[in-house]
Amino acid sequence: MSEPVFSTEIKQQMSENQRQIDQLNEQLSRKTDEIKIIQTISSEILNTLDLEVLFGNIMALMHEVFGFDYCMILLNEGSLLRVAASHGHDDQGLGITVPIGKGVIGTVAQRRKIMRMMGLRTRRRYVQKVTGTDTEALPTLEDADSQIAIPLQVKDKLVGVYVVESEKANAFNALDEEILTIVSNQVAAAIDNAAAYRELQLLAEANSRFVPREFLSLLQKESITETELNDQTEGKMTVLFSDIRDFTPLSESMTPAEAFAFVNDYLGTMAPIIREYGGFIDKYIGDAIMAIFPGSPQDAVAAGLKMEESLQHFNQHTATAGKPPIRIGIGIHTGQLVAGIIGFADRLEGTVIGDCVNTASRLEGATKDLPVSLLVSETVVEELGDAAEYAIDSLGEVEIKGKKEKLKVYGIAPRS
Amino acid sequence: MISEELMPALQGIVPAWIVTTSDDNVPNCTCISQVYPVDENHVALSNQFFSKTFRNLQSNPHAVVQVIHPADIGMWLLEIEHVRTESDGPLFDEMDMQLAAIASMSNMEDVFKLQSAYVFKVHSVTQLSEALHPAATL
Amino acid sequence: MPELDLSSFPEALALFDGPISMVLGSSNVQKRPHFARAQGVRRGEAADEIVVLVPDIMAAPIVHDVQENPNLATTLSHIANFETRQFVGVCTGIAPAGAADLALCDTMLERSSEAVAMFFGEEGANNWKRMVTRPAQAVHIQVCDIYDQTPGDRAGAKLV
Repeated sequence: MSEPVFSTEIKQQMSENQRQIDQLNEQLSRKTDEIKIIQTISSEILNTLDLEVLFGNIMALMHEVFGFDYCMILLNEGSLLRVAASHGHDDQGLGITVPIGKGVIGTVAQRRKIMRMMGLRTRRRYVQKVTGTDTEALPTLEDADSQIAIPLQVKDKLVGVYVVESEKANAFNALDEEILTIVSNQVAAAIDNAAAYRELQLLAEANSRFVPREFLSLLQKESITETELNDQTEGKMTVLFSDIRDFTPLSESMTPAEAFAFVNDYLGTMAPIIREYGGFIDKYIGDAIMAIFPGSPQDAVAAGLKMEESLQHFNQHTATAGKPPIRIGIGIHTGQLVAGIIGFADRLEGTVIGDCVNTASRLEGATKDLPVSLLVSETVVEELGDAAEYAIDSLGEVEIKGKKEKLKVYGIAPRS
Repeated sequence: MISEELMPALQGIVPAWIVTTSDDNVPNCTCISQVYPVDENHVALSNQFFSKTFRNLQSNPHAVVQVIHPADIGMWLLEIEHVRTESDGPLFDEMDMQLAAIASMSNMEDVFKLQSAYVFKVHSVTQLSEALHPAATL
Repeated sequence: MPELDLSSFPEALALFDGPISMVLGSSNVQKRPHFARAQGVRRGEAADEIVVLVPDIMAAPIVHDVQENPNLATTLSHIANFETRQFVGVCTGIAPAGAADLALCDTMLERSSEAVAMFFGEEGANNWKRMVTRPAQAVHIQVCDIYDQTPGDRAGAKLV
């Protein structure tokens, strides 16, 4: 039997078919590779909200799995990008910025398209020759001759730019570009998540400086986001008021900036004491402090005495700067209080309300006319019981504005 | 026609040369920074400074370019023919972006602009292997 | 027409010393351009004459073209600073390069390799040195025009 004889046409068709099969196989193997890459990344990098850990994971992935030695992540800050992480660079370059639209990295951010740039050094020399100006140093390897920069985007939002680079002129090919294109979406999403989480944490931290955590816990709230108008809680608490005596004439001898710094210095000395004794600051009113002690009135008294003691140190310190010593007045009263959220619509505030607050404030005011700087009410003294560590001195009765009955007041000092 | 092997020579790493001919048959040789790969059968040049080259191409679309492979300095000759000029679209954008990236390092991105992308059909690709001594003989 | 004297173009002549990348272009009667890498250049006997040295391995299309069309162009580009000049003229003769010319080619290659090393490293320079320089043809050109082709504003400016 003779071999089957194929016409030229059929032969051509067969070879064309084979070519197509090869092409499909190649495409298939590419797809498989892509899936492998995507699987590797999702398990490695998506499982953390800690931005620093995430950066480390991404760099390790790029280095160990894809073999990129020099990498950088720059985050978008509006008109510029800032280096947030780098790998392989001697000088890490963290914090260095690139304006949007400048250089390979800035242009990639501006146009939102990947760019593979080779022969960087020759190109820079060429442009220098043409324009007669030096090219700007950008946060790259000093001798970077190849770069791929890819925009990190989540939908339309530019999160940042990922950069890989090399000292070699011909370091990257189309495959490298493809790998980075595949991974960039996931890297962008992971960074965006972690960055958003960090932002949230920072925000919560910032909020806690305005509305103390202790206040929220009185309201049985975890976060300020849970609070709403009319949230309130009632209970027996102690209020401490303190104020600087004759601060107005003193402040007139200072520039506004000096006065501001002085008050912040003073508050910086006093505020930690409140916390140290289990209280929290409800508000500052100029140089005055209004603090709440949800526990025993003894906490407030101990805090008040410590404040007086610290004032001595504060005065010694300011004396070296040529400032006169200051005196303070402190008033403490215990009673029923309502802590809650007040205000209207988009301007709310957490505060405490109650007759007790006014009384504490009046007591503090009364120290002006008395030879002591710390005045407490009878209620406080009763609550202290026979606390042996205090010398309690009855100072008679004082009139309290808006009250029919006079209030018995006491001076307190540590028993020496 | 443009093989994977040739691709590194089309990345602008080593400057290239182009020879064109004027209407009155006077050749013109110019150094160019990059011959861009477009697809298997096309390359592109950026029209910036070498206006004489582009004037020649208006009347005579034939040109020859030499590109150099950065890894081994291998020389390749491409016989090309100008087939169209693009001033927008993906190819133009990509070339313009590359120029802008470098020019912006000197704050010259507004001056150093791509006028147009000249697209050429590639008629032949020849590696001039005999123009180099074999590496081993050195 | 007054004869061109190359001595009036010291900047262009300075490029003859290298380090440069250099090519010679020709065009056949069908107006198809051809390319040859040159390995050396020097002034000729006449005031307007230059001699471009092209390795035989590259010279064939040029030798063929000038029989149909004597117009030639040669461009010299400084490897480090991109200073570039083009000399355009007509071919007045082609002959095998002598020993002195071949030695010139080797010197030029040595010089350009040093510049290449600065920008592309030792490996690049070693590859650059692999360029075949000999045997070569000495292509005599009577220069009619000189152009400044340094990239930038002046690019293409006709000097003569």
